[in-house]
Amino acid sequence: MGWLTLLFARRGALVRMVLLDLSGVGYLIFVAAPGAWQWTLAGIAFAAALVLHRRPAINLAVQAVLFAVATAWLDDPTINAVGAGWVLLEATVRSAPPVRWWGAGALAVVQLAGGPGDSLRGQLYSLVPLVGLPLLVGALVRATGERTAEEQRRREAEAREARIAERGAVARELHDVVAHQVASMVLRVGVARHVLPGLTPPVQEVFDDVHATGTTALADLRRLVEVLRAPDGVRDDAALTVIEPAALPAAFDGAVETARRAGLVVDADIAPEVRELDAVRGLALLRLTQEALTNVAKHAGVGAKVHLLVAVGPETVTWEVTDDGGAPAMGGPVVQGGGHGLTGMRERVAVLGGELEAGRHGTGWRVRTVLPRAAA
Amino acid sequence: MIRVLMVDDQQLIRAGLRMLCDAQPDLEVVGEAGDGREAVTLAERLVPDLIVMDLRMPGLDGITATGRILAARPAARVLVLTTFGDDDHLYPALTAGACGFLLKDASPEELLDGIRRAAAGESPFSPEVLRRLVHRAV
Repeated sequence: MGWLTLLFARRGALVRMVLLDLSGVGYLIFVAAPGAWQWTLAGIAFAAALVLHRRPAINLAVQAVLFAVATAWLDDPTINAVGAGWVLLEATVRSAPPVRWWGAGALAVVQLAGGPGDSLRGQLYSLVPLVGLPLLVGALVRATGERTAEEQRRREAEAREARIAERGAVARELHDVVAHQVASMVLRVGVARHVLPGLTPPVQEVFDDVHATGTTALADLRRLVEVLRAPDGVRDDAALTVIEPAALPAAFDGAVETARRAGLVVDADIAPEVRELDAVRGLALLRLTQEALTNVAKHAGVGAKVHLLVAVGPETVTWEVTDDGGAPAMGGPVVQGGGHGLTGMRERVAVLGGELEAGRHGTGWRVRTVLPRAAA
Repeated sequence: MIRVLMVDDQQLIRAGLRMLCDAQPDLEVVGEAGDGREAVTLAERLVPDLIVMDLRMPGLDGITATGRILAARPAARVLVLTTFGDDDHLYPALTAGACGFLLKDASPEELLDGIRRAAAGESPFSPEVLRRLVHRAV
């Protein structure tokens, strides 16, 4: 029903009024044999419709008055009846609910009072196109529009929530990485202070200061990590939130292995230079890979062919996961992408100064990013 | 002489601990492992008196490694030495059978004391961790 909302969108009001006026002019020229008064009333109605296209309530009032005048004076008030009916529809869609009831009432009174020649049944029937139809169609358009807007709001809220959650996860992991490094520094300094012979008192003092500051920083970091901890528990591979770059190839192999167990046919092309990346970038690439492979398993299904590429250049790191959309026989409609996984991936990439491209590629899907190797 | 196996994925930590222990007459570092899998292998081959174990490591993590080592040799003693002492690390490690839990910012004296006590059959804990345990228990 989205087309209905689109057809009566606020943006299109002027266009609708122009079309209405043109059809009115056509009627006057080709069908009716209008007199001066009919031209005058029609002209005013046409002008009001255009000028007041953004103010449906006022427009409706003006058209109702013109309709009353036309009904009283003219033999053929069709132009003003159609105009009033149409603007009643516009007002039903856009104005506060009382407007439509006042408008509908006014038009009905004019119609019933102004047609002395017709039978009562004929008069009542004439209310259907003039009042009934506009109210009905208007209410339908309005309800559809409200539902669409509601849907849109819900989707946006969900995306926002996912983004916040992912930001929390990224923050936690970053602090986690730093905490580990600070911990090793603190330990090393403490040991050096304890073990190295012949330290002069000033040097001892420096060591003690570094140790004390490091310990305080570590306590702060621990608190932060705990605050940022995901409420729904740790990811099942939390052991990997801190990873030595040298261990990255093994970790990538692990991710690929997991995907293979899930039924994907993975062809991995990982540059050995990934071990030269810093811990934060390395971890981000690993997380992106895990997320992307999970998405492929979810959307393309068992048997899908996946190509994972991690290429390390002097300035940039290129990461790409492409799939073939899976075997058609495995069937089922492709679940449309853009889930929370993708939102999270965008956040992660943005933190590192890159941009995530995601979209259709051949029969399948591709996600890709190029990250700067050093912090911008 | 207490024979110690150091397990940590950070080279810096292993070197620091080795330096600390080698300066002691009663401690000897007999091996170093960079991940859980290596730790399980070395624990079996070297039969150390004490295994000092980090928890978060790539591949096989410290908790799983602790469980495997103790399953193979229930008399083995594993002392956890890690950055974080929160519930997600502490309780699984204790459940896996670790005999003590120290944080990496412990002072060298605390570390040495912890290593000696753990080897002697006691259960050393960093004050923070102990506080957490007590808080949870009462």
